[in-house]
Amino acid sequence: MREQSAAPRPGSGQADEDLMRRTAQGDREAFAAIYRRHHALVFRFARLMIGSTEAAEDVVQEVFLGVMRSAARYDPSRSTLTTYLYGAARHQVRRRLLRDRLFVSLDDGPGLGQACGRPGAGLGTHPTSSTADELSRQRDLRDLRRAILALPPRYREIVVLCDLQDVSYADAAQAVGCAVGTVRSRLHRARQLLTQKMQRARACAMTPARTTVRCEV
Amino acid sequence: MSRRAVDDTALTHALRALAEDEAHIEPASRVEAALMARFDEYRRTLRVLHRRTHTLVRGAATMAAGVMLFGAVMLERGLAPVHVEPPRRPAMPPTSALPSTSIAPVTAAAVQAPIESQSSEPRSTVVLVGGPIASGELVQVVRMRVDRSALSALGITQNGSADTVEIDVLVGEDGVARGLRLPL
Repeated sequence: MREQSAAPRPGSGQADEDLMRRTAQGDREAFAAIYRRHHALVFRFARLMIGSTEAAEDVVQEVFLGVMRSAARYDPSRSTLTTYLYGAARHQVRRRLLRDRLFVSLDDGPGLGQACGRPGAGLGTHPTSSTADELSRQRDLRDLRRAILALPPRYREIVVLCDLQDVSYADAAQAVGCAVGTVRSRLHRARQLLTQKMQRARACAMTPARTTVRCEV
Repeated sequence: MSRRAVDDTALTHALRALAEDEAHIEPASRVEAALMARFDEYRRTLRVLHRRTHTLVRGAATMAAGVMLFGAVMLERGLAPVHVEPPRRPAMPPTSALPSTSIAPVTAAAVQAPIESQSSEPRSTVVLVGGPIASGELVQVVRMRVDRSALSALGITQNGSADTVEIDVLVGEDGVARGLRLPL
């Protein structure tokens, strides 16, 4: 697990605390720097949690609007900015899931079954795999995304944070607001559920299709 | 290797592949543009609000200071002894042109003092030099230093060796001297 830290990253200018302090003072560049540094992780978390690119972009916007409004109240001694952002994103995602539970999706939506946003992504672009392998890989990823989306939110967020975003257990526990032991147990249970779902999906895929018999006249 | 371990390994690989696949996905650039626009708008609103609050606070502080000052002035006026504005005195004629009833020329600057703070030495000789003091008339007392010779010219003899004598001039409401009070 990769530890998240508030220290300046290589190549990045100032520490998050300084940027937040400057944002609170109305520094536009500092806010832009915070966004550019952290928007991807918020976006990916929201996208994997909700399963929609548009909704994830809305979440990103809401989270950073919250940062803009409450930058003065941010206390670096309580949590790192990354954890703070994950907590805010989780809150927004939960609100959206609660709001959208009445609606039924007609399809997977854009970007769920494909590697959207990546230039050149798609069939035939993998240099070492054949088209069939790439197809199989894309199908596996789609099944995994579906399986993750089918998990209950409390398990889903742990899988997304710890397995897909490489957040440490401690930071995940802080972002989710539970004990580290709870994170471990939820992750264990979530993996079990995912394995079951993936096996079921694989079994469905391997079921032979109904054969078509041509009638000879 | 058990089946469960195999499944775990497969899941780990699948999750890693998904993480790699997701790592390249970025939100649209319009999100950043919209956010920065909102940031600018928010700062502008905040600045206006701040300015309004600042003006309001400054106005309130000024008003409070004004009220305090007014209160202090009113309190001062209420507590201070009533100061009777001396009536405008007619221009003092030269010594030679003085009528017999007018006050002798002043050799030094006249010193005004409230009635309560009159001298502590006994002053009982009152010489009427003008009209009589009406009953209830407000009289102002002006202390002056007068040449002894001027008193002699008025027909007032005064014991003492000093060249000047401090006398109290009783001035009526109309500004005309009514009498002189001399030390014994």
